[in-house]
Amino acid sequence: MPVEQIPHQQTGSLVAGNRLLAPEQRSGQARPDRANSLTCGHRACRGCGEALGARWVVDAALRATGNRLIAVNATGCLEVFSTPYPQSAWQLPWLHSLFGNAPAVATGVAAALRATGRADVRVLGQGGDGGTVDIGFGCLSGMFERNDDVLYVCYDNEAYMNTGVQRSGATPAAARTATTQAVGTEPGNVFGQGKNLPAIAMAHEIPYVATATVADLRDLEAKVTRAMDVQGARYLHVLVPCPLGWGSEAHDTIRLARLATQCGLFPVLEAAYGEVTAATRIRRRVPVEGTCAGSPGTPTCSGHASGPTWSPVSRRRPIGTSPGTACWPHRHPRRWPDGDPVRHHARLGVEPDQSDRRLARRATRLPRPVSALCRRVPRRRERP
Amino acid sequence: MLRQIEGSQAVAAAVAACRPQVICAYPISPQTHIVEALSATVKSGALASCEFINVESEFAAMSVAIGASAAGARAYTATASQGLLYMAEAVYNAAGLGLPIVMTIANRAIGAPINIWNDHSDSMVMRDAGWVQLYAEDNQEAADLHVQAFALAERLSVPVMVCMDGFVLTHAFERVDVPEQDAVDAFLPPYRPRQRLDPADPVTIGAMVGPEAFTEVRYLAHVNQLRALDAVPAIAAGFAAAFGRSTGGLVRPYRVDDADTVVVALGSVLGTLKDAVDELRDGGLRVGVLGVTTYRPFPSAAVRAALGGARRIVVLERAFSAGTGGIVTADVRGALPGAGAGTVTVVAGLGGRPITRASLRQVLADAHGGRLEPLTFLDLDLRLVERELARTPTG
Amino acid sequence: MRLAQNGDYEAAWREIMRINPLPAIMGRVCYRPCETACNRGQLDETVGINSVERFLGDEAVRAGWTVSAGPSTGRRVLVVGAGPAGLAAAYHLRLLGHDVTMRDAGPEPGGMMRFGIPAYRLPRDVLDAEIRRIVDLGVTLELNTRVDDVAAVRETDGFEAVFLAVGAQLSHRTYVPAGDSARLLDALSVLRHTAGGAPPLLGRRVAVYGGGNTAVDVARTARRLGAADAVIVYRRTRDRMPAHESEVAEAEEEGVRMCWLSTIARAGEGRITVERMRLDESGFPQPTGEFDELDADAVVLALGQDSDLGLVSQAPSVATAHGRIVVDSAFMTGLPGVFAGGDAISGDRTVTSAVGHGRRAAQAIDAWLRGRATAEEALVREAGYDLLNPWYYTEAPRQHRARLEAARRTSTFDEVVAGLDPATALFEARRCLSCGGCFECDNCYSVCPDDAVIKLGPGLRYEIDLEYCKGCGLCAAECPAGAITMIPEQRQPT
Repeated sequence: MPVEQIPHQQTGSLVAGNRLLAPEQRSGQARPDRANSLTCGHRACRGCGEALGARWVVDAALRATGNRLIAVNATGCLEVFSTPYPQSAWQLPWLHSLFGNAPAVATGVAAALRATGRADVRVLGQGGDGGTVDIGFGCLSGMFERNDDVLYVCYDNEAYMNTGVQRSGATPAAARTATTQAVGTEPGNVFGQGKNLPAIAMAHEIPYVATATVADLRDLEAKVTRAMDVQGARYLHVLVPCPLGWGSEAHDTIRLARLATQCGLFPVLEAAYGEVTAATRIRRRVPVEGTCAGSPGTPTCSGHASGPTWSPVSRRRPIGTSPGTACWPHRHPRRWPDGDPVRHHARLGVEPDQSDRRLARRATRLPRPVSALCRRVPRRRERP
Repeated sequence: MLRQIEGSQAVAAAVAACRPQVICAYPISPQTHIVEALSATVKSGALASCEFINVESEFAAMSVAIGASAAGARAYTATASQGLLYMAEAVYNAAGLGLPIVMTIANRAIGAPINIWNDHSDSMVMRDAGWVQLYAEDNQEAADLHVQAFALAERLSVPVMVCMDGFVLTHAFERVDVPEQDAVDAFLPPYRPRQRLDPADPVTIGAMVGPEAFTEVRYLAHVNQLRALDAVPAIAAGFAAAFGRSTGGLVRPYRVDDADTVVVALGSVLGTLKDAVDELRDGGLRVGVLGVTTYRPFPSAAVRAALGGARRIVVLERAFSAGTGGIVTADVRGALPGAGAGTVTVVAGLGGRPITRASLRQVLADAHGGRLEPLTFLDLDLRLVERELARTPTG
Repeated sequence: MRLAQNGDYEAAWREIMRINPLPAIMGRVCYRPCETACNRGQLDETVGINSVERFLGDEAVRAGWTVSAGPSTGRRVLVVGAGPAGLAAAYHLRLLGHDVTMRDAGPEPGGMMRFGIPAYRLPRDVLDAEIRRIVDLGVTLELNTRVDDVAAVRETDGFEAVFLAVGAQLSHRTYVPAGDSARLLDALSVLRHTAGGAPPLLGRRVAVYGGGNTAVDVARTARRLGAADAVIVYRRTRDRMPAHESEVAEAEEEGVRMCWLSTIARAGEGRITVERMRLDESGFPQPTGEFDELDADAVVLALGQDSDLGLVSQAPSVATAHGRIVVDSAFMTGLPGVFAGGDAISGDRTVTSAVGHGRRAAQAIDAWLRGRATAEEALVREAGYDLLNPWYYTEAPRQHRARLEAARRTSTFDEVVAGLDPATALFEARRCLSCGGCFECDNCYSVCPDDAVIKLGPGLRYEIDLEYCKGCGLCAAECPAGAITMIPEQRQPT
């Protein structure tokens, strides 16, 4: 656990500040002299999770580095709403180049800092889920593989929001987006696709990988702080609900992220060198169904009652079920309790449908699960 | 110091003498020998304070260079062909950000069909990217142009491409006077960026510009680029004074003063052309050659001045625009009064096809005699063409 | 609570003292209606407001914290009765600067708190200390002084206003057919004599007739006086019993037996006959004609109390109804300048409401003396549970006060329920959700995506910068206490 939970004291460490705690026990965001690196006046939508998450992340990174920090931004909402020429909301040196190259640009900045004798200045790369898991994925993987001294933060709102809510490689199954519309009885996004980027990052055996959400901002802050203590490539995947794209209320941004963690859809974890080292326990378990209404992660499967059990490692991937708790996530073809969806639904007395049959066919020819990568024995790497 | 040296090695040595701080590269033939040599130089410690980054793509290579340059480092990369196209988005981006990156293009054809040999199809694609493009005639010039390129890039805050013909130059062993470190140090001051990413003075680089200012941003980039037309000759002159040899500059006229027919060309073909011109002159034909060293920005005034006396102009192109014709031809015509009537295009040496002195003599003689079509493909194998046409159903 | 959470107990005590002059007493005898309303009950268990109050009251007694009277107005007020209502009124009137004379017919001040509530619930040193603190404010206390005619006394002794807090000291009588040798007592006299150090002889087996708190007090007192068997005879069922649940439970722990659905039909020597009852549809007990016999050396009647209203019998304008004085919403009787409160007026006859009457009557008297309307108390803005964000409160099980072991409870009058120690009191105070009240957790400041919440500093809370606020409502949604309200912006006329 990156954040030592302080029990009792009314709200303990669950709130940002808490006057009952010593100042050093409160979050950095509670400080009146916080950096406000992404300052007021930016043009994000109401209730923007990315704007919120980004300020926490960059402020925390600034504090951890004593303001010796340079940010590199991928194209996307965060870049667009923060820098309408001739204004900028950024209070730190900040560079935007392209949609798909932020990790490589960050590498270049880090290399320049080393070459020019300013290695104490650290580099933060950041982008949305499209810029990270899709178009920027090659550059990200290269940055990981070289173990460049960059903390890369993905603000995951589960679709291409800046262009108008199109599907990305991070869009969960069944989600409605502008390019995966729910038509008839067919759900939105197809099942069984999408990247588990934290697991992929871990497979690179980089020194630090973590997930976080805007629902637990102190955890996010602590993870950024911890990441800045580490040299080399680091990856932080932050779930940031998007009211515009998810069709949710602006004031529900944090609540939806919280529900995503409490129903197990979004595991919150830390990993070092490819091994999970900590996971945030679910505090108040809620069922998946009915918790994420309106979000790209809105899948429901009629006929099933309660949610599945979830792997703490594998995002959005159930690894096992108890009998009778099958639900939409099990439409992931790699994970059917009875081998394939037709057999599984038949056992539950649910009439298999067309998509079940299609998935059953696919289930027979799928490669090994992505999460298996996480269990690979890490190759020995020089640890700083 | 004169050395018998491979072109790539000479360029690598010249680049190293410029003390780049970040070198990033992704291998592609025929650029490989340059970055291999630089990699070894950095690893050996001979190049102090330099980071060599092996990246996963050309797109990443240019991106790393962008980051490095924005953070205040002298950045260099090299590529060719498909690689240049793969990094295209970042190439434009570097120019838009005004980052003084220097990049070597080991000119090579573009597929499909895949072909690793030399022509200018790759760098011609990038002629509108906002970079200064310099074309080397030989390896001496290739080496020297890199020193001048860094000086130019950093003086104007624009990126510069140094184009040298793949294999023909990169893999050719010639006698090259590799620029000495002391002389380069004296010629090229340390990089002082106009602005850089610095926590002590935070700046936002790469903001979003809307319709209200985009035209102005582009206009300013154009004006800045035109300043190269003054800066290039000045730097070449300075280089000549410091190193005792004349390389670079905007254009290189050869026997054009009384020429009726002048051939305009870029790159290594100029050497063969000069030999052919000499032979034709010996035969009494008044022909000349105009080498264009600085292709972007296009030195229209210098070209017009050099071609003023010629009746017939042949533009020898190492690339072409399918369905249209010559690329450089359009620039040359634009520089001439009356839109350069009488200017013809000869497309030659695509995908590494040798350009022989005999063929050149023939085409120049035909041109001089007014017997040349507006667009000629040198040494076109008509039998192959007709055989393929016969196999292709028409209609 | 807020001040107690900070560990500033004296400030917290002073905050309580603005309302309630008897926190150590109330922390013991109050039946905690506030805790019923506590939102934390929907999360886990209600906050022990009462136990924190007691802790603060005890701290004050221990540390000798005092308050001071207000600047003198020279107006004279007579308070009749030194029970909780009278004491509270006297206290608040002194804070307002009036001269207060308090007369009580009894030998010691405290009223029912002294003579009705057994020492095991309210130790006398605590009672004495809190009364002394009020008297030390400059109250003229005249004991053993009965006021027989309020109008006359007011006239002769020159009081501008009078507050009647005479309580309800007379035991309600009912007819129980009894043999000559049967020993019948009334509950109040048992408690009064026990408090006075001369407990009556009750015998080994005691039956208490009634279902109120007094009945339970008597039964528990009987156990402490040596009764091997104390049984409460009540005609309805436990859930309909007016006595407070906690008292009944404690009584049962101490071995008090309950005889539900029963009336005493007849009392004889060492034995009583009870008739079984059943509840009709309206919940009223009806006789069944079936009888049981119980051993009982004494029968104590605890069937309610009446007020001795003789002092207003000479004042026809003071109306009474059902044995209680009728007052208006400002606690004034039909006779201008004469106010009444506590058990003597209608209400639920607890120390809690008596103290409340005292305070509100004091304010009314003050307003009457100054010739202005009683100021309406500003309602505290409260937030219902649905406005809270319970996620942010830590898991914190309620800290219960230690209780004396049952064996010692039946032999001594030692206090049954112990107080909280400082650590647990602090813990309990910090279980408070501060519903509707900002406690400066910095959540609003931290969750605003637009940096539009300005932190003003410790104790100063926050300000919304409306120039930059987009109205997303995250601050309100993520405020643990529901202390932020979203108000729709009025469209500016164009």
